[in-house]
Amino acid sequence: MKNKSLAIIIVCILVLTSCIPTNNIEELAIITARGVDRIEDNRVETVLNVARFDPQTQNIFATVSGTGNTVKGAREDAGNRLNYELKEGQIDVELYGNEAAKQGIFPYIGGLIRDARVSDTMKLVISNTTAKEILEFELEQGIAIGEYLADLIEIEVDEGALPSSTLQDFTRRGATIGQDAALTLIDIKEDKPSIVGMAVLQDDRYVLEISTHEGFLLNLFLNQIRNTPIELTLPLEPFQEYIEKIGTTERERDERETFSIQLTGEHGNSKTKVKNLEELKFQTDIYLDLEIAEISQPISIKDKKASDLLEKEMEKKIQQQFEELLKKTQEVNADPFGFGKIYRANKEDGRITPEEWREKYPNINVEFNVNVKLMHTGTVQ
Amino acid sequence: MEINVKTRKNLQIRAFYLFFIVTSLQLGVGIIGAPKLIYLEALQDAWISILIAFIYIIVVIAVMFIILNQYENADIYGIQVDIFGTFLGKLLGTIYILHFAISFFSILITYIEIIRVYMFPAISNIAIGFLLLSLVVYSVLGGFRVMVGVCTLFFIFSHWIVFLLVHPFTQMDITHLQPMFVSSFPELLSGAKTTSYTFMGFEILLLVYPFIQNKKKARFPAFLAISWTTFLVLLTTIIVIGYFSYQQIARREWVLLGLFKIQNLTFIERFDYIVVAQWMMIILPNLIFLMWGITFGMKRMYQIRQKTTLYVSAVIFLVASIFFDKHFVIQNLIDFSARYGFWLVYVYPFVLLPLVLLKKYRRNKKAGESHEK
Repeated sequence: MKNKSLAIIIVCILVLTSCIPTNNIEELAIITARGVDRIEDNRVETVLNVARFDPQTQNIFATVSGTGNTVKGAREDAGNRLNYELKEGQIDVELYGNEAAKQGIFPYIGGLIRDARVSDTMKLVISNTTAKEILEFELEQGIAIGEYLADLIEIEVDEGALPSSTLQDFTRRGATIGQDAALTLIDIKEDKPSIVGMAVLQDDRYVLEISTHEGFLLNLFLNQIRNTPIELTLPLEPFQEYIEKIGTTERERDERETFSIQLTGEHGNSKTKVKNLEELKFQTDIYLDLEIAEISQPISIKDKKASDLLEKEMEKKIQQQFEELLKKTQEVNADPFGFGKIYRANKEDGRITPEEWREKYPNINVEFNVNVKLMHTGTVQ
Repeated sequence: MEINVKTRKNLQIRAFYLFFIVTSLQLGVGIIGAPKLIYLEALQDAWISILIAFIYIIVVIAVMFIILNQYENADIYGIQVDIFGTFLGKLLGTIYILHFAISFFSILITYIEIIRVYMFPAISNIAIGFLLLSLVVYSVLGGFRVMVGVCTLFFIFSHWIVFLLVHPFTQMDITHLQPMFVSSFPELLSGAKTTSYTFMGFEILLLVYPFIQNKKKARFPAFLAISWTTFLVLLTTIIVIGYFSYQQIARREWVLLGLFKIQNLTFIERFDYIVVAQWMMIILPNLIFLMWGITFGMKRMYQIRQKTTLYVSAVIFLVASIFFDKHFVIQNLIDFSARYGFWLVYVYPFVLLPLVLLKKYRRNKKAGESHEK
């Protein structure tokens, strides 16, 4: 009896494996990055960066492209040019060309969410040129471009320098009423694909380019930061008396009116509340604990007075930058901060349509209160 | 037929296992989709709906206990025959069996569909169905105590999934839950009603009660079980609402599984695969106990051997699962199960209670009269 049931189990194990379609790794091409471009006649061109494990080829990475009416259709077309079966489970980066992004990216994203086998942690990136140009870029040492881009973004996001831009983040922010998403922006700079800032979207259309520093401000607004490098440029004028002489030689007086200061943001967070619902008045308090890493001028922060002055100047600067960023987004009527959602949460019935918020957003008034605390100055004063 | 169930001492269980039985039966495929359904009815006040449902279920369970305590050692099949007579009682018992069968089947095919969508789109229903059903048959053949053991162990083995929710929890957007208290009372009630399919399963109490050794202590684990499931449903609903935006919840099918797509470790990149596979441990106790309910009912009312019912119904379920492979057909079955299950599980005990009390009152009176003579 025991042998009999054992035999049944063994037979089952042997037979059941055939229920699931087999995937031989030598026959697969795993897509690591995908680019989407819009070409004429409303057609889509996708560029796929694939990894395949064929012992006969030198480089395991390859790039193929195809065209079609939908993203999946274009993928099939690309698949026809490759003697491997394409698998989508491991896409790290999805890249949208400039044209495609300006016309809206929801149509391409629908397929990603619908397909449960696609990873939700893939990064969505917008290219300032075409996606093809970036994905076909030849990197030295044969690194896969998809992995390269993903790492590039990952490091910035881990540092807190930029808000994260995964598929989840995009669908969450973009679909929340009263908030728009912002995605990482990539361009070829100095002959290498690099992050040039963030692309602010209105619904799903790319409408505004902001710099990496503004991306940091956005992240400070949306999330908490920790150990983030920050660079600020401040006017030199108020610090005249603290400029140090080095050695005995009188240096040539610097004609520049500003100086740069490199800081580490130890902690940073923000709080936003509605001050007046009818008049659309908001108040945002931003708290930053900073540590000086480098100053481009030999300014000595020797006493509390100097430190207070520096704090005040930095507060003024950051506040001004926030106000500029808000104004820019109001001009294109895209709300990456999510003031609309805060508005909705404080409204009595909690209901607002996206259209209503679009009407209101250009008229909102935000008071940014920046509180900077200079914690340390490093090992020198 | 006998009103009271004669249970052998070696088949009985201690009262606290009731906790595992009831939670295991309540948690199933329902909770995967429940946050969405409640949210669509009651919006950000969905949590109030869940609490309303919780209070209602406590009342239902209290009523069930009162009914069961009027008898020495009876289950629902026996009680119905006692109250309504042989024919009507057996008819109602058959309805219960059908209820278990449809619940069983809806869980089976929903899980098969989830596997097909998330992992193996090409696998045939019959292959997964066969695997699951063979496990069910095997456990039911093991007897009542084995089934309880499976419940207990799988409860412990599967609850680590809760810890995976920490990540989405930290990324919640609290404004999604604001402003509070905007949904009207009818909206909250209809939200509470949509939880009926998710919370269903505690009716097994009416069947397993005779198997409990120390019946006096049975109330506490039963209420604890309800509290635990309510807590889990509440937690997942709040995280889902906080994490996803309105449109996402409205459009996603299994919104809870979407929460498991963001966790990421260096050696495991996709936790959703693991969670979907792990979910088998959550649905298996469901299937086992529902199957047992069917076989036990057939034995009690029609004196059919449990093994016969077990094999026959397993084959029927397996064959039927081939025909239920379309999404909307499955959804219709779930809706059907939820709709009439609502009346059977949530309303019927209140009808039964006065009848049982009346019967007891009369019986006592009769006994008193005969005593006087």
